[in-house]
Amino acid sequence: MTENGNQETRQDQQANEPSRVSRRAFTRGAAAAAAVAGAAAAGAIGWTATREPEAHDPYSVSRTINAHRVGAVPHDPLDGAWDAHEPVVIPLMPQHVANPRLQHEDGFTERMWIRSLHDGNEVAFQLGWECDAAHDIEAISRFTDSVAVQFPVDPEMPTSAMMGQPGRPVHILQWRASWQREVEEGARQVRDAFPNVWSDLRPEDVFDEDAVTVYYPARHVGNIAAGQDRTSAVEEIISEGFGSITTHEQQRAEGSASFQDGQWTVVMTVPIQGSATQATFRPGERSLVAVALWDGGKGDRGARKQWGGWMRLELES
Amino acid sequence: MSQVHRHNVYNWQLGRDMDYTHDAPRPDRQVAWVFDTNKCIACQTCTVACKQTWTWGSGQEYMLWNNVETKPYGFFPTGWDVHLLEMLGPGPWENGEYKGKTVFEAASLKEDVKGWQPESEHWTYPNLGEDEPAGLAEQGSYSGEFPHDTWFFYLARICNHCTYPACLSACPRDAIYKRPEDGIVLVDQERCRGYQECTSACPYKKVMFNNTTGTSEKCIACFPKIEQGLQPQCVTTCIGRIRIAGFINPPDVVDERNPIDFLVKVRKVALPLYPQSGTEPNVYYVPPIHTPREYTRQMFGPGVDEAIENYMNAKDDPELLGLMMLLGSTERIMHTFEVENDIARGFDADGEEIVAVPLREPTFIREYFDDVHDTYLHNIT
Ligand code: SF4
Ligand code: SF4
Repeated sequence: MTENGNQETRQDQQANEPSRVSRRAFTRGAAAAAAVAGAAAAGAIGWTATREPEAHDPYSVSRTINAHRVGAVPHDPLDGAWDAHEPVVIPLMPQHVANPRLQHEDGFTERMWIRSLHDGNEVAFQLGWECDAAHDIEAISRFTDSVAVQFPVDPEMPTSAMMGQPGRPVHILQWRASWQREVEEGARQVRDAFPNVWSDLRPEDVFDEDAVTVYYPARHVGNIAAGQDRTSAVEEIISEGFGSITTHEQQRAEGSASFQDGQWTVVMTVPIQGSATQATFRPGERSLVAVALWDGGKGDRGARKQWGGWMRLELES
Repeated sequence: MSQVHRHNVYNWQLGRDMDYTHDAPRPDRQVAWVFDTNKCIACQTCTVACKQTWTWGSGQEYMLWNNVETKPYGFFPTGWDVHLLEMLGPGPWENGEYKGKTVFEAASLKEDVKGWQPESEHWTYPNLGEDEPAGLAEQGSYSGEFPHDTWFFYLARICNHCTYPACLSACPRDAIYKRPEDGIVLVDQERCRGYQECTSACPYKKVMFNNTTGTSEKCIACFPKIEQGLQPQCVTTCIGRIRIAGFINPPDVVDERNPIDFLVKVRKVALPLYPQSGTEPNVYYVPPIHTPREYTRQMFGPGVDEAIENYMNAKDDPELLGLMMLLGSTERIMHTFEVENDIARGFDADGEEIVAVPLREPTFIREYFDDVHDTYLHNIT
């Protein structure tokens, strides 16, 4: 379902059965039914859009992100090329639609900013926000800072800003501070969180590499979250609504980040040419973009996030 | 998702319907266990057997899918059941019906399950309170009557493979599922994203986060063994022979020959742990006979008095005695049993006999003086 190239289309999630029973698999039988078809099916079989698109035109939104054309997009978050353009400030809201909701007593992150550049081959997004500290370790009750940008797979088939809807998928790029740390410092280790941990004997001390993987089941089945040799801090995801995010079979996006003076600055880049299940960014044509943000220090993860609604995205010709 | 998608399900342990997040049909078969707390010696052989089998990888250092804690002061993770009781608040039972709130019914509008998230410190002291008694043992005091003034007991714990799992309810990714063929509850390691919503939701704190793979993991009921008709590691290694694993019938079906049905529904000597959670846990406990009844009822519900009475009567109850003798006598899953002519027999799913034990082991008395070797034989077993 993740690494092996299949994308869940989650056919059970259709509007004629809006209850959670249909959306969620109580048994494996139902889970298997939900996990049908491959990535190629995204634009073809089984994607019945029974739900009406939102009544209002999503392109009527007031905020527009202009992706300015440059010779080559900068991958460095602090590259001077970014400073030539004014950032757009995005107000954020706590996620209060699906459970579990964001419920901080001491306030949520109320805004972030975004800039975009493209060079005809790649589009880049620079995202910034204030955060009391960098949270880049995932462990027991510890969560990572993270940011995501989202686009409709088909800009002419608008979809819910809340991670898409059945039959109307969104393409998401999610950067995680913990993954950035892994790219820079090597695979996640228990000692990152617990420096004094000690164990006498681990499977890798006695078995060869092949035999060892069964002791790390999430790795064994290819879960990208458990990856050992991470080369990118950004994950490309496809989604058709709450709980349906699935790792895309093709991972092309890259990320880099800087944390300075209580501020994250993150850059994500992705080729402008997409596929049937990945957004294609066409200079001169309109599309949409939305953002989501997680403050790991406050326990944000998954649905516990702040988010911003659709904004227009326009790539300079 | 939100409260509007609640479903009405029947929880026989509460004696009433309750709200649940899913329309949750009972599985075709439901694996279940009975643990006799009166026989556990806290040797932790079960704990080690489980750990050696499943959780010796890095990232799992702290994980004990099976743990044995001393009550009242032992907990793993620290304070798990005290937190649970505090969250639910007082909940009276009236005529076998629970009038309080379950973890599903007590949830706020912002989450599906009322839970709490243990910090790493809570997972640091698996032996907290070990052998620590409640009450002071005065010089010369004697515990000749029940309940004892000074007491503790051992509570062996695994995942309850609940009929209405809270871990499953809380997962926004549908990564947790309950197998229709045996009711075993598993975390799909392909879909899990390590959000730890399940670790917060499980009232028994039996889902744990793997610090290396970044996903949550839990007791898998040794499903590769169950699939072969064998009982799990924690059962077959148990030194005290306190455990049995088998399949429990749905609430409206009572098969007197099924060992789990017999202990839970016929003699009613085995009770769920904190049934007020609402998850309908499938590990059933013979409650300790020597602890204050109020405490014991809070932990195992209103069936405690009847359970203890029937259990204390085992010496005059050949069927119960025979079944208790069969505990720990076979690695195979016993689907039925019978007691005849002071012999207890267990049978597999096809009705083939897999084990037979006498109700009373024969006793041989040997002269303490051995004439042949001209020596005393005492202290020799
Ligand atoms: S092996 Fe049996 S007797 Fe020993 S601690 Fe575990 S449950 Fe108790
Ligand atoms: S005991 Fe906890 S982990 Fe096990 S099935 Fe029940 S809720 Fe899930």
